[in-house]
Amino acid sequence: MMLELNHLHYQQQFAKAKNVPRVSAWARNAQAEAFDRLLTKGLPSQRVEDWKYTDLTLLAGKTWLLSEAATEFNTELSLPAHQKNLVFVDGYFCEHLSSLKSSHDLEITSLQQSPHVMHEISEDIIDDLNQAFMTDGLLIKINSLIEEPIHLYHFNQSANVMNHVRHWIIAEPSSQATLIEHHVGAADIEYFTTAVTHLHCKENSNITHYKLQQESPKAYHLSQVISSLEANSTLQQFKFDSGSRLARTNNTARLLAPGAHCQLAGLYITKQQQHVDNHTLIHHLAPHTTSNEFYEGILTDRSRAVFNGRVIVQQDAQKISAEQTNKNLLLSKHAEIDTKPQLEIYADDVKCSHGATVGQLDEEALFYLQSRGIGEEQAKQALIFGFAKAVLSTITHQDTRLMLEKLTLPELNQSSYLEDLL
Amino acid sequence: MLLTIENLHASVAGKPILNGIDLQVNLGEVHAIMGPNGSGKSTLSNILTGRSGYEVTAGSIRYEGKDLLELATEERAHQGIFLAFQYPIEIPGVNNIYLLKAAYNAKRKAQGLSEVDAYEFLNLVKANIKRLDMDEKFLYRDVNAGFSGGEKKRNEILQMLVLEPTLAILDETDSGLDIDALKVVAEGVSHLRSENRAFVLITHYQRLLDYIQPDFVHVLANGKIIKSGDRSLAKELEKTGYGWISQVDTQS
Ligand SMILES: Nc1ncnc2c1ncn2[C@@H]1O[C@H](COP(=O)(O)OP(=O)(O)O)[C@@H](O)[C@H]1O
Ligand SMILES: [Mg+2]
Repeated sequence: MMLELNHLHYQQQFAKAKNVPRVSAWARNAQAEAFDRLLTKGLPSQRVEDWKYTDLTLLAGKTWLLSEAATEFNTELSLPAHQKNLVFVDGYFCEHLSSLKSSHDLEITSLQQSPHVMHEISEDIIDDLNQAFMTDGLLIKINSLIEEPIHLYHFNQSANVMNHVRHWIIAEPSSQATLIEHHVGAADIEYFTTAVTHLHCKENSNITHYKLQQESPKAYHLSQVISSLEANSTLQQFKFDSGSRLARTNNTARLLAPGAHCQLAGLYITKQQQHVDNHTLIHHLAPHTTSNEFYEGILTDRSRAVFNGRVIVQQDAQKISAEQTNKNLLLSKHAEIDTKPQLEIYADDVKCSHGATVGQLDEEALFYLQSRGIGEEQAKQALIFGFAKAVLSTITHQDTRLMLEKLTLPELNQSSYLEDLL
Repeated sequence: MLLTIENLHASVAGKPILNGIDLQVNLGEVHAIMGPNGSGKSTLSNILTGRSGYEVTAGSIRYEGKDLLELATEERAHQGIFLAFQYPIEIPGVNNIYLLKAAYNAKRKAQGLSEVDAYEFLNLVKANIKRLDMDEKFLYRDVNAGFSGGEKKRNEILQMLVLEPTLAILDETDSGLDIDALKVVAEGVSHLRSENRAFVLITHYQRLLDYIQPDFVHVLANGKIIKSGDRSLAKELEKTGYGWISQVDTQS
């Protein structure tokens, strides 16, 4: 049931990880325990139900070296001038590259100096890996209404290394902010990264969280997002995946008190040998909570994607509404999608719906466009982009929607779907 | 001769639908094709535009002297063929103005002309939108998505006006339209009607022909043109209906 890790190698890496400063003895302990769990459990094999479609054998077999803080920067690292960033390179915070500074309204501190927030016993192997080898991370406290998006920019430039970043975001009562968590890799290098983000949305807070995964096409990216929503808080999340050789996200939203609402949306675009797995869990722990989930996928070549949408409605959590939709466009006969809703409803006054579709391009629509003189290739691209727009249009903030559309378009252009289609 | 159809036989899924159609259309002419449901009218328009799934088993179609069946659907459009669909397709995520501009520029490009700029194009479209009494908002809505039946038909005519085809085929554009919408459609056709264009109006009713006077009327039944005449034939059909057709057909 497990893929064993090379103990000797990982122990050597762990010795290095222990050199990364930790403030408290408690944090050291938690780190050591996470490492023990990791070695004991290993990585899950495909015989573990939750990992049935995602094969970590290659990842487990490689001897990743723990990354070190960069002293030189790859030329592909180009930071957009118009936005305020918090920049990480190879898993280490680069303060001198970061234009966003801590302030009264937005407190930013190193997670290494905030041991209390590490206090969470993990049941997730991604979290164990991350805790054991954590390279760096931030504690971000949102104290009021923050207009400008908080851009967490993770750039990976070194080959054959692993890095593990961890963020803890606390939205204080009635605060409001937009977070953009961006993962980007230099072209054509192989590395392994884990990213764990905890998001605590207190009463009446309103948080928008973008998680954009554009790692190098050879990278391995395992991430975990855990959001906790208190009374009348709202979380809008958009997950974008176009990178990585293998990417897996365990994304959990816990609706803890009445009035909490979350909207999880996502778009994955996979090609060649890519494998992208999104496991989401929306846990309705209190009455009068609502959720709404919409993921779309565009798959080409021999790529593969997994969508598992689990929704749990706790006993006595009445007056719940939960909607889930997953739509997939399969542009190659060799691409494969495994999509599964997983509803566990233990209350009776609940409105739940779910639906999943897997389809090809609409030939009628294609003919219609061609009959107007639009060439086949352009017509197909228009239809594929039109498909993506359904989920992109859930982004209400216009600039961000445009940004996402701009990320999407080139991904569709590069794909070699034409070879395989129709 | 703009279009010459000779002895056209075609099948769908192995089933013969067209059984020897002959039709000649000159520039400047308006032809009406009338006939009962299922007689093959849409099949003919689909074959003229190159929709897949239709197999031509015999006969030929020449357009501007070329073998039409050799051309891809988009090439036919570039060379001036336009079909107003009987059932316009909804395209979520692709908006009307994108479609219009892409289609317009594709045709210009095929003709070796430069693309028009966005401003110039918008003015051209807006003039036509007015002619059809449509709201400019339609330009920014997804193609036909959630449009009413009448709005879809107007949208087809809008595309026709913008693309200025040489041969326009209107497949039951009049069906399901109220009298005002019908007038608008007729006005659109009249606006384009010229010596450099031809129209094939497929219709079920004579109603449309009160507004657009055809030069020729053909009756299509069981995949064959069984009668051709002038405008008076449409009037006659209005009186007699299509009931007599099965008799004619069995006699022949
Ligand atoms: N795609 C198709 N598949 C199967 N049968 C078809 C298809 N298209 C047309 N037909 C058949 O061909 C015949 C003619 O249809 P159509 O050309 O649509 O007639 P009209 O437009 O005159 O009403 C009908 O019997 C119809 O059922
Ligand atoms: Mg028809």
